[in-house]
Amino acid sequence: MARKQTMDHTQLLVLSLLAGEDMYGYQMIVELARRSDHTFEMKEGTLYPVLHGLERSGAVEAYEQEAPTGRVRKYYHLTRRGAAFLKEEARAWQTYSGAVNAVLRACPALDPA
Amino acid sequence: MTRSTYIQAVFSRLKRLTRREREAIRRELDGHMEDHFEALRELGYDETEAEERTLAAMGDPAEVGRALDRQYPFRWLIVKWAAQGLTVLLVLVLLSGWWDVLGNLACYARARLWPATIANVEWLARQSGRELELVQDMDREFRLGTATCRVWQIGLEHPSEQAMAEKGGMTYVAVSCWEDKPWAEPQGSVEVYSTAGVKSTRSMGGSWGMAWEIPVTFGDTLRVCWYDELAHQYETLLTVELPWEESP
Amino acid sequence: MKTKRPKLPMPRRRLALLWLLVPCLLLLAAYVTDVYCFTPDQVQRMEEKRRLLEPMEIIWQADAPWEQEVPALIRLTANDRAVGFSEYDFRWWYGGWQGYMSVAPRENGRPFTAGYIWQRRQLEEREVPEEMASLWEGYHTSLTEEFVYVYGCVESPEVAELVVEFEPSEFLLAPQPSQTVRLTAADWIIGTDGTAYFVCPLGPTRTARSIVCYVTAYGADGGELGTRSVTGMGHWLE
Repeated sequence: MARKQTMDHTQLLVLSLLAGEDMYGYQMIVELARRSDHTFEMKEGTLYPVLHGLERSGAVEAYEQEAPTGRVRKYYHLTRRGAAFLKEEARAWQTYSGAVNAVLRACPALDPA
Repeated sequence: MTRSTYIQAVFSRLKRLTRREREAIRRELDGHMEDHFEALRELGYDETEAEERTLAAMGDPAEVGRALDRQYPFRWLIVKWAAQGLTVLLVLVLLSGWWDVLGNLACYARARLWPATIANVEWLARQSGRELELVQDMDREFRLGTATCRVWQIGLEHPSEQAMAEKGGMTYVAVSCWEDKPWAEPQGSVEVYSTAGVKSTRSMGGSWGMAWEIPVTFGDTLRVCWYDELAHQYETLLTVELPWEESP
Repeated sequence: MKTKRPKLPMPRRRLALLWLLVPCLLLLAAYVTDVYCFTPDQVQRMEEKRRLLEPMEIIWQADAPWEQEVPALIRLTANDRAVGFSEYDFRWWYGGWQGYMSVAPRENGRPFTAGYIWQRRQLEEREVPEEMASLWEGYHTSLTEEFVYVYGCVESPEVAELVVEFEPSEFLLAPQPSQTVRLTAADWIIGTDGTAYFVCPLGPTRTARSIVCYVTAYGADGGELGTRSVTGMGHWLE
């Protein structure tokens, strides 16, 4: 159960990164660290099972292209199905986090005052 | 551990990969580590330290390998192999039939567009050592079952009454046939008679086209007939007027 | 100059489904072009077209008793021009369903239409009586068993009974029993237009030589309406 949670969580992050532009694996790691201010620093190798899983389910498509560094990299592109999946998951996540926040707000021990 | 031993360690957990999948994963992981390595080098790390940090950031290769393996389900590989096997089997089983189909398509095109390549009156006349004074193209179609037949060429040895009276002569007619379905061979056999009931003395061609040589007298017309095997008789499908030259 | 890289592999599921599509398309093309016959009806239509007899109605069908190894059937079909008797069998490696239809032209002016068809099965050595085994070497290709069918339809409402007389010649010098079958209204197979059809199985009989078979029609009063020899060049006995 715990693993599934983290997998979904990584999937969501990856999909949201790809919503902006097509990226390759290393670029995603760097971008994720930058955007989350180094909160999400995953083991880099574990990104690929997630990406390949998303490719398998049709949420992303892969193609090879020369990166700005001059090397050929495998880029991932968000498909229509992936975008719909992202939208749905993001909404679920917001509901979830909103609920957690509501519970936390009601906790007297955490009252900042 | 180096980059390539890391990748080897990942692969040791991946059970059944095709060569192409293996190569793509290798390129991707290696590219990732290369990028990370170069970034660290630019930050001023020496080679050994940069490589160590790169590999440490990648995480446990066994865990990466296990997680990747789950994304390559064997059952779809089996389905693909089965489909490929079935394709090969089908091609072998159906090959000879399709060879015929290709031949039929070619004959269909010839019968419709270049009927002269199947049978024409000049070839037939030459076979009997005769000269044709008049060769005329025409376009008279009739149906035979699901096939269309077209009388497309007529040849007369002597079109004038005088020559016919003196020497007699032959008339030649060429017909091409094609089925509604271009890949099918036309069925049913056609014969040509003169109005006097004289049968052709020579013919050439096949299912897609025939030419006949029929002895005639001046003023005759031709009857294109079909042999009805049930009624044991010929049925006239078309009467063809011949281009006789009227005497002045 | 760029070096050519191998293309990225497609996800396995998509690749497998695409490959599954290939045999499906091949089968569809084979069906459309009649290269492979998936049903006996497909051969039937081809046979009808070949004889310019389209369309025919299926009157009756049964399993072919001489074929045990592959699916095979015999079938009576008819239209207003002819009655057809066909034998089709299925060999997956050889174009699917294959077969042949023989036809008896309808004889509207006669009491009945009748056709005759036989299917020959080669006998195996153990099926030949022991005392005849010495003949096996020299004659085995002519040692056969024949499944015979007389089929047709009743053309005149006066016909109350058809008598099929079947006289095979000897087999390995042993005379074979003749057979007489009486067909009455209970045996008719009625088509959608009300025409009465019949199928009369005879044999299997072992014969190395010719078979003679006659069909005679009788009226309700027992009067003879006509006899036709259906074997060889079929003809009416006047």
